[in-house]
Amino acid sequence: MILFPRGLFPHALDRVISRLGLNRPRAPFPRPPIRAVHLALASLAVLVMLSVVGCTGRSLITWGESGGDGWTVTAVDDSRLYVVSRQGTVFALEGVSRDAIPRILWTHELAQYHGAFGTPAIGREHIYIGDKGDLEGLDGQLLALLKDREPTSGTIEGPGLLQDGEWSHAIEGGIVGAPVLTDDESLVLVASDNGDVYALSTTGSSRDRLVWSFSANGQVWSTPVISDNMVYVGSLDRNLYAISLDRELGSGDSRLIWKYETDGAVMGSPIVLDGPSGKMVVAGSVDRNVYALGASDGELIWSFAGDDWIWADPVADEEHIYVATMSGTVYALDRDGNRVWEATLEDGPPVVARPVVHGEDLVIATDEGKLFRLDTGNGQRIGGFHDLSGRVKASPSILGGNVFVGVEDNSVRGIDLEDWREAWNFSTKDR
Amino acid sequence: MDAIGFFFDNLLINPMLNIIVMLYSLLFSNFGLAIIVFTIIVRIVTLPLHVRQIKQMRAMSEMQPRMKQIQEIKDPGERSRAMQSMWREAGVNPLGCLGPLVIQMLVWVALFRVLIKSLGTNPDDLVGLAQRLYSWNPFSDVSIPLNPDFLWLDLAAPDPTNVVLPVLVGASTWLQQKMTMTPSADPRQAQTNKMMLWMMPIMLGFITLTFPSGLAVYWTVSNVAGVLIQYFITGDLGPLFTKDAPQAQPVLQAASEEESKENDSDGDGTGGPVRKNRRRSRRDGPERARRKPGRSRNRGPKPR
Repeated sequence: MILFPRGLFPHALDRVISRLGLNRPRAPFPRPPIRAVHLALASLAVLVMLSVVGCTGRSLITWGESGGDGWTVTAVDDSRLYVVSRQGTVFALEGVSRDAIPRILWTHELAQYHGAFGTPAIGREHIYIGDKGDLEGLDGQLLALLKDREPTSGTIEGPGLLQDGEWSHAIEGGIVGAPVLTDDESLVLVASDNGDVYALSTTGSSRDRLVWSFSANGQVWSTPVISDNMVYVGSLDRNLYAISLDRELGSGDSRLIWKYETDGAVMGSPIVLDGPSGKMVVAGSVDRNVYALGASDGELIWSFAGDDWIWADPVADEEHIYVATMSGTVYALDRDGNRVWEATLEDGPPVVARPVVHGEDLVIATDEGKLFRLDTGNGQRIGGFHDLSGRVKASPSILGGNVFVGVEDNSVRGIDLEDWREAWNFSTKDR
Repeated sequence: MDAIGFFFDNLLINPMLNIIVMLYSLLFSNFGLAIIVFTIIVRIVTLPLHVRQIKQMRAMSEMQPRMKQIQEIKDPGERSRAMQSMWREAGVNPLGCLGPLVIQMLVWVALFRVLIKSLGTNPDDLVGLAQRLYSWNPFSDVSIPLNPDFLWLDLAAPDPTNVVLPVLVGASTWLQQKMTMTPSADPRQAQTNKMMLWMMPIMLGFITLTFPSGLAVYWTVSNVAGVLIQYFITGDLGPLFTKDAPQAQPVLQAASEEESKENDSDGDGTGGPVRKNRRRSRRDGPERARRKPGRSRNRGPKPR
């Protein structure tokens, strides 16, 4: 009986076989040492592995990047923290300040949920959540849930039904950026992955929901920003668009007031602030530059070159504009575009989440799960960093002296801003 | 697994990704063209290996009669030495044909990951891509996001027709295999070759239904390039027009006939001595050496 496959390493194998006395009776020998069947089997093994990977979309080997649709996103109003988990459960939490044990007001499992990337918009009565949809062509949706909804509806046992006063609206291509409300909350604006910006009425029937739309030339992942009856939004087609909010204009190109083309995709949202000569729009681009444009005419006022892609939204306080790059470099610029200080975060982790300013602290979460606190005056680090043991791409929220960070390990961490310690850890998975 | 991941990430996926992004920028922001040019570059880089493989296969083919003779050697050590000596004289390394195949598979696996990483459609994918692009790559900033459209295809998704690319992949794989198939002295081997000639194309065609079409483009272009290279090196398309076990059978037959003539002492043309040899060869094996003296194989029952 032949106990060993023969032919691959004839010498060594023969020696072993002879020594062990396994060489009787002999199979016809020699054969070509590498047989087609060996190659075929090896190829088959690889192809089967690849087929599994290809068919399931899962990796058999850990390649160093976590998958999953959507991020753990947080939003706050005056007293509550809202969390949308990666599994599609919305939590309304109360009493989250300092070391208090939070109370879950209600949870709601979203039906046909695929993932949220943007911070929910919080209105007076509703919370608006954008859903990305999926690659199979299923539309995303904008959901409007009541802030004070019945706590019994929609539990972990199954997707909850919408209650009276709640609604959803399908968005072709899905939503990546956050929804945003007008001041009077009559309109909610969302941008789609198909490149459309929609203005939806928050009231009325579903038939009258769409008020107007505008199409960019590429995907829009940026959150629209509303200022002075204008909407500013960046696109992956490299343009920053300024469109009119006017209800009367209808849909289409007539809404376009100006657009400014950069040399790279504009992933993040712009900010609108007072500049040296009136209002200006400041946005970062994948071409590594920060652009300041006239809010009314789109004329370039200044630009500043960073050291890497700029994805995270810029933020500003009374004095500075803060910009973080994908290399983990943070710049503080004055309103004229001059660099005031520059800080490098440890190990150069990429920053995707919008930083938050709290008093004299600039809090920055990195994609590698580290949370830093910098002095807005000089860029010096205050305290050590928090290792959140999971990636962070969603923007943190601040409420009651804590900064809340949605982490991709399905948790929300609350860091006390006073003594910079982790005061709070809320798991979104096993509830 | 970490080591494998590190190897794939840093030595294959990331360099490939950067090269493809660079080609994408240079080739009118067309990812399909980038894959085609990349495939041709891979083929050019591996050309020496490919040429060597073809030459070795030819040499192996020419060695078939001698290999048949060596098969008749009874002593395993001597047989192995003779085999080694034959390979050495012919300058053939039987493992040499593995090189291009392994490289092909590695590139294929890496390209699979490159397509997933580079043509992703959600922010997570793009964050991952940003971390893989070299900061000094001048094309990374202006190329993002990459446009996956090529002809009727979304290169990150399977062929929507479910027909064209699977057929192209299957046909080109068959063509390539047919051109490069090694003739075999062993009928079972020949049978395996014949089976693989059909099985591999059918299987690859089938899995093309579920894989990103960018991989199918790579595979098709690579096969066509392989056939062209083969043609320019060997100068003929002979194997395409022969039956399933090209060249091997005639060579072996010739060798057998030659042997038969040499050994056919009774002149009846039946090759009797060869059969005699076979009988003797069974007796000459180690089994015989261990047989107890004075006992023949056809003896009656064992003495108790």
